[in-house]
Amino acid sequence: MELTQFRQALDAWLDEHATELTPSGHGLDEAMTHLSKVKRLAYDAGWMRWGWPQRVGGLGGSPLLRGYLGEALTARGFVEAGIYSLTEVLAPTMIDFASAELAAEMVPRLLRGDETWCQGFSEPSTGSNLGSLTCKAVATDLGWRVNGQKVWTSLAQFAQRCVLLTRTGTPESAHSADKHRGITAMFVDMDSPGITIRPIETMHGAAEFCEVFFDDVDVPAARTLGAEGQGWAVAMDLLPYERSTALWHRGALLHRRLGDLVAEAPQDSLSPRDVGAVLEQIYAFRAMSRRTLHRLDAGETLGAETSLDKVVLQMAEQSLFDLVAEGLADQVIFGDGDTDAEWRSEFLYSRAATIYGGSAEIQRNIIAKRLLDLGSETP
Amino acid sequence: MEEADLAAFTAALRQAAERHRGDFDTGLDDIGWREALVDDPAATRAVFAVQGELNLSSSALDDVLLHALGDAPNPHTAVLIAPYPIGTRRLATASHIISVDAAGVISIPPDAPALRTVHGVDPDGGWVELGGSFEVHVMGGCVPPPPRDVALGAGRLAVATELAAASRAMLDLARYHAMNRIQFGKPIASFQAVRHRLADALIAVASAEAAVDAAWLEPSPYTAAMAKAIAGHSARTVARHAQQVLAGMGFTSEHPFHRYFRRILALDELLGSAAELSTKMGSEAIRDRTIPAMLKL
Repeated sequence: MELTQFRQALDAWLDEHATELTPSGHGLDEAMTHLSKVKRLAYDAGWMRWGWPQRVGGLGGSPLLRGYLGEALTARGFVEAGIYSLTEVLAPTMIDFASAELAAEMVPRLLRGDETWCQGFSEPSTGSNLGSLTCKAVATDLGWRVNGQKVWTSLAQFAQRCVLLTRTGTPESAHSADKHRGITAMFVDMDSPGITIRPIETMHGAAEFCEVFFDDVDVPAARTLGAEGQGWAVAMDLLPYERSTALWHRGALLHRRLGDLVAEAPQDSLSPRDVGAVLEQIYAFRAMSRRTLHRLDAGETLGAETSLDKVVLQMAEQSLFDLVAEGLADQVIFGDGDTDAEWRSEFLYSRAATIYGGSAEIQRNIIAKRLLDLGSETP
Repeated sequence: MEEADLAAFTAALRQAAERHRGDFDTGLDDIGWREALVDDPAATRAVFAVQGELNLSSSALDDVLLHALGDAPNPHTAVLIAPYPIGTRRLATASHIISVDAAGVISIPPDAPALRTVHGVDPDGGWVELGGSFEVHVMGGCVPPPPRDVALGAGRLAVATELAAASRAMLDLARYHAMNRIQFGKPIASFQAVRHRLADALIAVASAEAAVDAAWLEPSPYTAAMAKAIAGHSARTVARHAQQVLAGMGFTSEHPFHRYFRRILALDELLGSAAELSTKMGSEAIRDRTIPAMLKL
């Protein structure tokens, strides 16, 4: 299936099914229900299966097809880019590290919207310094017993499964030079006894992130992803996927919202120069991200250079919503209607763009060390 | 051009630059630039990239514009695109000057214009300004000219390519300095503040290179304008960060940085500055209450 052909056929299908695909309510619960519906329709019609290997229910084909699907759904407002793109991030990890049987059983459920998955990485004492994680897993006769806490776990309250990073090495290893070696990834059922989920209220108004507590949670050995002690490789494997299609989809969201901004802003509320600057930033991001996706398509290994894409997107998102807060000031700052609340929530959420998924500072550290080759940093 | 031929052409360009440091036009003549230009757009890209990288000055832009207008590139014809009054050094020596505006191509009588050799911020650039008023004669006997937009797009893309390459060169100067300048017993490249500043410069360079790349892949007035705007803005950003890292050394006349800084300021002004293009695109979006589709996957 070739991209041009896919694009034409998908666009026609999306036009035909626009009514069903358009969300009707507001809020996170509604968005999640609607997302499952959209994924199911897209899966059953075949679209969702392109770009994934056949052995996990896919139809094969290029990652560009997945890229376009997410872009098209986002551009039309049928899905919210952030929650849609989690699939792009978690499915490849399962495909690369789960046993063939487990991947074949589980990935189709994610693609079809029958399940939601979450990612258990960050902890209260472990943010940027992921290697220091301490959520513990000890070996038992049947597999692992997990104790600890995760935080910032997106959509945990909706999730059936969790891709969880645990420390199976010694507690001391968390702070040693060897810290990466004591980490093991596993695929945990969220209805396991001992799991408690607490959504976190955040300033943008949608409680999409959670604390997740693990009290003597048993995980079967067959649910280990990769080998024991290979968890760091699993985490690192995730990154190129996070930095390719997922970012492309978010870029499509920014493009759509900039269009909405100029359509809705009152006369003389926007400076042409500022609008031009945001147009340039979004365009530059698209040029960079498109190149990344084509490299992925060509089978190239994506590395630290994707930090450049991430940073440009972070800056574009914040510039866009800074402009939104100016051009639609009355709505964002004082308005109480539904669309006002939506703009306001997005503006507030954009403040976190430089924080999640690798902060702006961490990205610059990576760029300095790995792309500019500046040697070691003075501690 | 095959990849091997392009590599050979680029190598020849660098050698020509070495031999003819002060006069890249002679160097370009030597390696058959005008034939290559007609043969393959990759030649144009290579010339302007090397020019930007090595801080060279030539009148290659006139050849690019002539070719885009459907004319034969030659050293005796200079081209200006209205309303931009600044051209290359060729304006001062050409026997034939043409100006392109929305109505078409007009031939400017050689004795009519007031030509001023510009010193300004970039005296080594060889820029010439066309001033004064003159009677215009529509060129007789030629086929309907291609739209001004096509020529403008070609020119903007060439200059954007040069801007992006100059930006990369400024970053390289700053990086080299940071790795070698020792303070407090360490290279300043080891200090996070300096590292982050260089990272910001690389981000700007990467944006410019991607926009230039996209325009070479799919040339159009739109992609060329975007490349020019992004490359112009990026160059100023990179100059600011590089200048700061280069500190005292970079502020001297002896260090090459200032020549790059002067050049990017002039290049940004050619054929529509980043500020002008950006503001225009913003105005159009506000007026139309819509933004254009951008770059298909």
